[in-house]
Amino acid sequence: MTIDLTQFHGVFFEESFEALDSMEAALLKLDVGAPDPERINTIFRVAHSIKGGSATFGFTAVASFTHTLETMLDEMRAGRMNVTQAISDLLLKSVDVMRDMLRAVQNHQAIDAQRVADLQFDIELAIAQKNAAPAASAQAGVEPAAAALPPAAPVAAAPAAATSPAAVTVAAPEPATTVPSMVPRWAISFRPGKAFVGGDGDPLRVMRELEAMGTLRAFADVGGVPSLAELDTARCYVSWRVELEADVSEQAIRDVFAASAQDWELSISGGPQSPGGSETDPESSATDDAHGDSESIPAVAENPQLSGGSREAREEGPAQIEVPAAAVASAAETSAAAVASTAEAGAAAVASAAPMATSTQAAAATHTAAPTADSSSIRVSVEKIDELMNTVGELVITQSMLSQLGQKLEGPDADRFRSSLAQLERNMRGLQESVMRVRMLPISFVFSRFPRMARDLAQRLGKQIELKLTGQETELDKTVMEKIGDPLTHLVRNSIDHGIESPEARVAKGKPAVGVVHLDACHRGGNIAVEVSDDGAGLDKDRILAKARSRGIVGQSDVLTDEQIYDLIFEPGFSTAEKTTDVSGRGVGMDVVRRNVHELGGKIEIRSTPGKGSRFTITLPLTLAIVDGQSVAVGSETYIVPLVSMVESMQLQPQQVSRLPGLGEVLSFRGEYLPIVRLHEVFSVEPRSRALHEGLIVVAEGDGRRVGLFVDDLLGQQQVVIKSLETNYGRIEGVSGATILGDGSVSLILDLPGLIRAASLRQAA
Amino acid sequence: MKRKESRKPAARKRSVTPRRRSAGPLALSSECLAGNAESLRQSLLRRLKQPSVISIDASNVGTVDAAGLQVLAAFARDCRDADRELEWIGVPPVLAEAARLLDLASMLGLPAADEALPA
Repeated sequence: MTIDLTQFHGVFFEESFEALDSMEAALLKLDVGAPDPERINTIFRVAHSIKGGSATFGFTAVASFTHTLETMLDEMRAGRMNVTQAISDLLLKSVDVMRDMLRAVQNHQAIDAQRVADLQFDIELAIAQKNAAPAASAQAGVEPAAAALPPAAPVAAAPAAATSPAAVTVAAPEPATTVPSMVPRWAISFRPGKAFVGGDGDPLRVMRELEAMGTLRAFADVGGVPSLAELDTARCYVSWRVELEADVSEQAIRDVFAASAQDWELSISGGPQSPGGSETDPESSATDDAHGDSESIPAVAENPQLSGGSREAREEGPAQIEVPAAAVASAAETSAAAVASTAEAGAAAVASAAPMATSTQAAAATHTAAPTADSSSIRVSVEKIDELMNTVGELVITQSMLSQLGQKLEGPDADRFRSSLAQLERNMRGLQESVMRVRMLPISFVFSRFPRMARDLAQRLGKQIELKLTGQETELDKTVMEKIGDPLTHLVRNSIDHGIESPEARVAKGKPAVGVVHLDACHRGGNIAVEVSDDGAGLDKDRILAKARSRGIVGQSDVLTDEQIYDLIFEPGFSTAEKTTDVSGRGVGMDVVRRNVHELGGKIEIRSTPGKGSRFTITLPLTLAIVDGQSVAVGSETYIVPLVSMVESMQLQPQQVSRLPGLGEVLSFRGEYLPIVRLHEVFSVEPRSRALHEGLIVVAEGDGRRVGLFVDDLLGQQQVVIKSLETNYGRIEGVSGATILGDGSVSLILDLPGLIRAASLRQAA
Repeated sequence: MKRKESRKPAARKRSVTPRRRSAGPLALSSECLAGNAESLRQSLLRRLKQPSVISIDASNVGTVDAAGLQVLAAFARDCRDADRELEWIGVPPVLAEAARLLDLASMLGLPAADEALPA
């Protein structure tokens, strides 16, 4: 039976990337010199899971590399290798390499073999040097990485057949992500060699003694038992796989079997080095053929349940060691049961491998695996949530239609109808919030990348940085999260590169040598504010202004406020850095930051004090699906102005309006002249009045610029569900989307930055 | 391989009065061991050919080994495959324990089968 393993790749990659993130986080917290053993265990488990999964799916390169890494981690775990800065760096590099390898495999691209080989060599060298050191244990040399991948012993430990009732006992292996028990876990496979000999050679006696050693779980493979009519009562057709958690040596287990005249076919793997799973010692996993003769192999061959993979393992031992992953993969294709067993090699494969087992035990295995993995959460595709969100959006619209209808109703039932409507509205809001919360993720998902980045940058730039992260539990919409990562990276990088001074310069200024970069997130109203601040040199206003003047961005005589000067750093290609480093200073990035933030409907503000540091504050809407808006009337049309863009609204006096060359109509607003944008002109609709003092002005801002929007009237504030215009129609400058109002009509949601750009183009023309 | 899940609840009861039809329950001897596995097989085969509910009285069983259990397990599975009802009468702890240890309880369809399964 062939199983299409590719269907499980997605889960494997997803879990592996998550696991690598947690490995990286653990590495960053690893204290050089005195590492926390549990942390090393965490790191080890990740490497182990990825190795197992990669081997199962036949990603040989990944499995081989991870194995080398695991060897080193094992040395560290056993205390035979010290955690030095160099080792820590090596481990972090390994995370990068593993991530890139997995990404390459995922995208069917070539793996950078040279880079992998180099790092693998470095790791092997580090292990070898550990051995050369006097303090090292007497353990013999390094395992050559390519040949040392453990053979898939669990495959040899043939699990119960899919067709037998006993197959139900094929339990999903415990994922390595769970805290492993410290008691050594042995995987033992055995069957009487030729015939029952009774007495001490009885499998029952063996099982009793094994159970006396610790906790035992036995799985009988009864697939080979013929019908009673054909049964030779002298022969044993059953083989057993035993999971034994017992603090005993391998020899003690072997002794149990040795105390009889039986020619056991025996394989033992696992033990103290692999509490989490089926770490296999190639030597001990090899079938014990001490008593074995040529007859024992046909006996295996006759038993279809000892899968092809295991036969291969027995007959072609050395070949399997050379191409372990391939052997595992082929075994996996041969037998579903074998796959379930192979999956023990790594927890990453658990979730995916469990459903591979055919028939009823698939469900059983999945059910056992899922709750242990994480009983409090389930993985749901984003599409499903989006669909749900969409439906809720439609409901909101329907509900507001009903509300409008309810207001017009008269009669004895009208009041009851309205109170029911009010209840519906409350419930709708609850539903909407619940669905929105499903899409929310803590911002730590983004923040988690920065410790590593800060560490690497500081090292490269010779600076000392302390990165403070606060408000990591602040939640925001997944879509927003995905788009905020890059801008934040730019800001943090800038702070470290340009903001924080060199340790000498800092000490000379009387500051601590260690510079602090602080990332903070918090909710403010319906928005989320993310701040990147540093205690560095601050922005040099004069230099920025001089540079802007020399580049002609600002006129020689123009007087700018501090805010406007700081805004200049967001101009494309603007940089005051004296030298360009490979980190930043090319003037690429800050304009991208601003663009991304604006695309999210957010804004960015800068505060800076010379010598004291700078603070960049990004304000973003919590979600992109719903916006708080002010509806305004222009003629017979209604438009939505996002509240985040609105400054205030007012009625104009005719004397407040003037005309300026190049700007057209402007209004005087607190000492500033703001261009007036007549919405009816932008959207070519017939207004109620063209006289400015007969309508209203909505002062709104976008891209750091303010304008006065001329509208007929303000209608009310409401939450509106954003429907994409781009998906349903096409992109329109100045419009970010559309929504459906309570009366069923469609209303456009204004995009202020776009609108201002469009308006200034019209003015210029 | 054909396998049917048609065990009736009655077959799982530990000590019900056997339904007397043409044949009474087959009483197992006190030893269910490799040494008498073949004679056990023969008598079970004969019983399999009789068109009635098959009852096995295991209450006398005092010792058991893997060879004996293998015969019983094959028999129990053949019953299921043939859609024959199998009744166990008086399963002694020694038999239940051996079946649990060797993970053959579910194949035997013993009353304690479910308990014998690992969680």
